[in-house]
Amino acid sequence: MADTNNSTIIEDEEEYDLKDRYLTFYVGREAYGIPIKDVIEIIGMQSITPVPETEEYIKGVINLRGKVIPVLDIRMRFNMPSTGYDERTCIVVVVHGDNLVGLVVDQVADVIDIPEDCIDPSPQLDQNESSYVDGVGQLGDEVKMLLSLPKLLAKD
Amino acid sequence: MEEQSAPSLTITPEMVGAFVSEAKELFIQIESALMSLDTNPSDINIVNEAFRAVHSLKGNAGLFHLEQIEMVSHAIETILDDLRCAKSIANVTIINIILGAIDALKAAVVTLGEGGEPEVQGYGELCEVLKGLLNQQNESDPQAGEEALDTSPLIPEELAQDSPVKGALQDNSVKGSRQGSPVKAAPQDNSVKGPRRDSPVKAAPQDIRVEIKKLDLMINLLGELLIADAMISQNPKISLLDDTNLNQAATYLHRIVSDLQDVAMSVRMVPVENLFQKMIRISHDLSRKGGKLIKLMMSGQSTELDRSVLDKLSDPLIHMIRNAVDHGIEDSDVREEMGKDKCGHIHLSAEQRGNEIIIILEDDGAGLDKDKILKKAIDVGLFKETDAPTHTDDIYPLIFCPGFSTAEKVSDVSGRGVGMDVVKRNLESVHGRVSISSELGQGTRFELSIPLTLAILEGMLVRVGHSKFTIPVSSIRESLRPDAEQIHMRPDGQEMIKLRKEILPVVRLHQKFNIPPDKSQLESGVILVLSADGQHFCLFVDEILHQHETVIKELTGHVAGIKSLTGCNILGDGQVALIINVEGLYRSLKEAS
Repeated sequence: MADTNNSTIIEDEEEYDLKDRYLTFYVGREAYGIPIKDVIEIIGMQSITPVPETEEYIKGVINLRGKVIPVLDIRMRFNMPSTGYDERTCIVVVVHGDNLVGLVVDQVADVIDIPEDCIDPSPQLDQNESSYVDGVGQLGDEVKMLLSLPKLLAKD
Repeated sequence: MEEQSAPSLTITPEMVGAFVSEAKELFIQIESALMSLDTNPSDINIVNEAFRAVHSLKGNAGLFHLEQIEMVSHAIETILDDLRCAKSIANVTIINIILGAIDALKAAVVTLGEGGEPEVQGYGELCEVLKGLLNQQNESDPQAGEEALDTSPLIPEELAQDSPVKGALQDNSVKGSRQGSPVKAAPQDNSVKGPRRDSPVKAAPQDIRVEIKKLDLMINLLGELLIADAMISQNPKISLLDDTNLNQAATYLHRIVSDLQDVAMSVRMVPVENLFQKMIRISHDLSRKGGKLIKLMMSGQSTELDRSVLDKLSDPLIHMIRNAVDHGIEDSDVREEMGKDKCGHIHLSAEQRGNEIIIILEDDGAGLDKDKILKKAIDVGLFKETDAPTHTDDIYPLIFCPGFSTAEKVSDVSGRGVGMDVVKRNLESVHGRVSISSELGQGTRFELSIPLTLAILEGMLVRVGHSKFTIPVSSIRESLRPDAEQIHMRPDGQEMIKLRKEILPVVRLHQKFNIPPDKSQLESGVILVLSADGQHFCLFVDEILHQHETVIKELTGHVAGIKSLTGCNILGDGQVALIINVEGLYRSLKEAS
């Protein structure tokens, strides 16, 4: 309960500032971003209860202060080989509709502003819809792939 | 109420909500009184009851300046007042007109609840009809009215089991003297003699109305408390401390928590009475519309069930009764030809069996025709003729498939055009089951089994490898460590255990859920004998940890809808254990084989 309260306060105070802000993190070599307004909190890796008969990229469920939420492994969602979890591995808790979902990422980078005019549409060579990338943000030399949470979290 | 008029009152949304929920209860009271009036047209007590409820409604409506609702209630009240003063006697026409007016009021209140303008449909006309009735009532000969009643198609009747305990817990939000609501009402007329069998005992004045949301919140907090209690009492460091005082304190704490739990759960429990009352009205309407004679009998109305579970049962029951009237009960001439009573009987009953409530709906109609059902199922493309099931246990439940049988009809009872599939869907959402038995030409019997409450589960915690699972104690028949000579294996590799005279199949949980186990030999682990759908089977796990009471948490989003799981619960150490849905597990195994 406390988490939602906090996030509401933040939204009220900084509604304008939130617009172009993204949480960036690494999965493998690449940097990705998700809108900060969808992020509830970042927690360290913790014990995950596996849930049988689900997709492989669903690692299971965790207890987030009395709330049980599913956890997805982004690496596995991207069909990348698993490297095991280390001390930098984090769970980013995001809002998805009415539910919370945890995303396992290799490493959280930081929160940055990416103004709209720095975002290009993701280049599209074929009809491959499974890229999960809405757009590509460029800040100087850096490239941040902006993920679409609805696509990422859609059930197959 | 005139003396309550307070023009300067500010009306808040909460007040409107309270008005709507109270009005809904009043409608139930009015309807149930009118239904009893159908059988006992001259019972002044019943008229009084309806009068009081209508009067309260009028008063509340006046308070909220809901003029149309107030005026219609006023007209009904006047008619009832005439009945009360024995100026006339109730008959079918009067009752039906009042019921019609009540329906219009109900619709207006629902609209109000949804934030719309509470306009009474056909207001002018309705007022005319009610006024006309009043005039006519004053002119007509009371005897004529009574005669008309004899042809009433519906004779609601309650069986002997009927309970006197309809008081305090009638509703979570028991009526009470809410501030601002007119509490006056006609004096409770104790001097009038006559049977009061059907009239609900009035709630005690100490009751207060509580929003169900607050109760839910309380139950949630209680759940957290249970977990916190377990975290402390099962904390390995604490169990190492050999301190009598501490142990006593922990035991004391645990006892209070578990008492608190009992009390909190009982607050949510309501008798099925209100739900059943609703069904009287439904069957009345149906029998009138279908021109069939129907007698609805009820028993076990005092049986209590969790409020939120009860709410989910309303639609299924409506549809099952509708189904019984539409497809079960034959026309009276057909019934007579068959040598049956020309009046069809529907029996609705409720009872508690262990941790479950069993609701049975039985009719003495035509019964289910399995060939017809099969044909229909093939017609609508549920399966090919060659794949058709042969056993009735597989055929009857087909009537619950979406789009089956009633798809072409829009239900005028619920007004939403849904069929029997709502029965199965709603039942599943409260972890209930339905079983059907039927005899062609003799009738049909639906048996609904519903867990007492959704919130808390008595579970057995078991371990397989690193995973922990909770199994509902109600599904466990026994547990054992098998001897080598009890274990047999079929040529196809299916393991079986001979238990006394039974041969039961073994399901290895680690195989089913793909978990590396500690124990791979059946004789080194533990066997739980579980029952599902009336069958028994053995579940093999590494070990039993302990029995615990636990709060069921839903699995949502990406982990929702797994048939073998009911949900999950949080253990004392903060870990999550999955709760096994024994029926679901059993069925998924059957499907796989």
